[in-house]
Amino acid sequence: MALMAFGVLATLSVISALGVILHKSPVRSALLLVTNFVGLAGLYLLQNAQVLAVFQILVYAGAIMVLFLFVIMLLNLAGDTSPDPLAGQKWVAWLLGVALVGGIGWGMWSVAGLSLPVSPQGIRATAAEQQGIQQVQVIGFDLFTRYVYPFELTSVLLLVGVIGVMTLTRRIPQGGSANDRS
Amino acid sequence: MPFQVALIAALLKVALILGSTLVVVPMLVWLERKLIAAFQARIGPDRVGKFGLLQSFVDGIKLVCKEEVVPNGVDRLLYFAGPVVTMIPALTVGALIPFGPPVKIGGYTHDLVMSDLPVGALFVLAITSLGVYGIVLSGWSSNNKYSLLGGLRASAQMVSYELPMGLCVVAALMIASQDSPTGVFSMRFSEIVDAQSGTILNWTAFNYHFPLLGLLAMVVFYICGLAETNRAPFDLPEAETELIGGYHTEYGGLRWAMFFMGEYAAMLNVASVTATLFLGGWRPPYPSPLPAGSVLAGFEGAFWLVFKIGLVILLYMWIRATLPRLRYDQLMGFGWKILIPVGLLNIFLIAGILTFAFPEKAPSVLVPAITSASSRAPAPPSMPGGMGGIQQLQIPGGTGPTPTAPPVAPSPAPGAPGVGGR
Repeated sequence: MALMAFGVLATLSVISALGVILHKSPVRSALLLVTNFVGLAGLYLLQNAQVLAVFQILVYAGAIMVLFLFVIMLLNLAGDTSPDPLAGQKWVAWLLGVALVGGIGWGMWSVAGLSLPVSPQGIRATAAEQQGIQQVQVIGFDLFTRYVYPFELTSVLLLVGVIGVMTLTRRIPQGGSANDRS
Repeated sequence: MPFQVALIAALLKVALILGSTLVVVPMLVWLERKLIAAFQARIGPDRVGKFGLLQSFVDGIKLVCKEEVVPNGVDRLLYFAGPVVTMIPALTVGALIPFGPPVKIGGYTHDLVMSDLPVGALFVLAITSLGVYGIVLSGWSSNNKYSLLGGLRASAQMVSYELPMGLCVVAALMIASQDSPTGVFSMRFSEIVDAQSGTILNWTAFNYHFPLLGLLAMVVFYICGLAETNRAPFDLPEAETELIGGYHTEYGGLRWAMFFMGEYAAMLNVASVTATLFLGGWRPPYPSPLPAGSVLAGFEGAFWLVFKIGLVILLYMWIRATLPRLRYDQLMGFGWKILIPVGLLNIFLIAGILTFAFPEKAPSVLVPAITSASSRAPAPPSMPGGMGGIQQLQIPGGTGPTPTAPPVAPSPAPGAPGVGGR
């Protein structure tokens, strides 16, 4: 049952991920990315990581992709046919992609060999892990104790981004400095 | 409980939740038209049925029978998907709302909730955040500049107002964690409702430990709910005086009716989540004299939930009749510059009360759940990372903010999960 669900969700994720890069229309690509996120959330649910699955939907599908769509609609991008601004980037992307897949595959092979997909220990979390990962308390506690520095650094990174955007988009009125604006 | 009984109970609950949503929506439309008419000193619908009660059903039949006109140049797949995508999240939230205490029927105890997820509060936020796709897609696919503008406005508005909404949910969860019988921070709706048992002073909105703070959280949540459901004064995505009909300009007949139903169902959802998080859910405002588990107590709970939802929805209609529509910059400024700071400040104040007024409980908000989890399922020492919290907790001294708290030994909480700390 779980294996069947995994098969369906994994197929959905892979096909929609391929669609994201292969589809001509930007809006369709964005929607396929949403489908991909939903598939990933399903995969997290299979691992009993409910909190992670819900955050995947809430943050990525619910907020970030809506902003993507907002920008695509605002610029009214419909099937861009203009020549590629970075000539040859397609082939470089292929090369890097193949290298990435090869690297991941080699890493998995060297760790587990052929036994990875069939061994229950390979894909299932232990009982304690399942117990903990379900609990939002445990995740919160880890975030604010063990991983507090990475966590805070990430928020500082976001803050820097926000301030950068504010600085870049701020309109400076004629004949005065930016501080004059009320 | 044998499988057949569970299956029948589940099907009955599904039918009840879906059916009541679909039946209540036309009644709400009628109520709103009557109320707005009264506010504006008009009569309102009074031709069909007693007091015009059947008006909405007649309108529904009319919409179903209408010819479906599909304009030229639409993106057909997304155009047809739009109304469906709007309806799905709107009909999902009802499954998470507990509508009564557990009742005993035929020797089996049934929980009066379809699905009591451990991450219920988060799940509701996630599902409502998906509701915007229907609006954005229909606005984009209609090939109409007014629709597109409506869709654009909807996406920006909904993303902006989700943030303060989430902050208010956090505030509600913090208040509930202080009063919960298990002493644990929980996102499970049934536990949030249990935390509000007692009298009206135990409800999150009127909690006597957090005077006015709970109420403030509810008010901000409610305002965000208005924006999330595109209700006046935040109905910019469909502002008929500026955008004709906004995102649903190019829809007619049954598809338009689905948008309409979706909007009212979303209202119903926000109202029921407000009632559950802040107004005690199905808990009556007095200690119930009825025996626990009786069917009568179940009806009492359902009555009080419906009553509270009704009050919240009446407020929706009152606000619509009272306030003019905001300008777009006012909408954005209000969300980002007022609601988010207020929501954050509210969380700080509640956290302060939790820490200083309940020093003996402050660590217990976090610690018992984790220690009981680790004592139930001891972590193997060779685990490859990821569960650092549990192992770390067993080190004495690193357990909580108060130095007087005794170090948490791995031995407490042998029985029920999360009863430690009380």
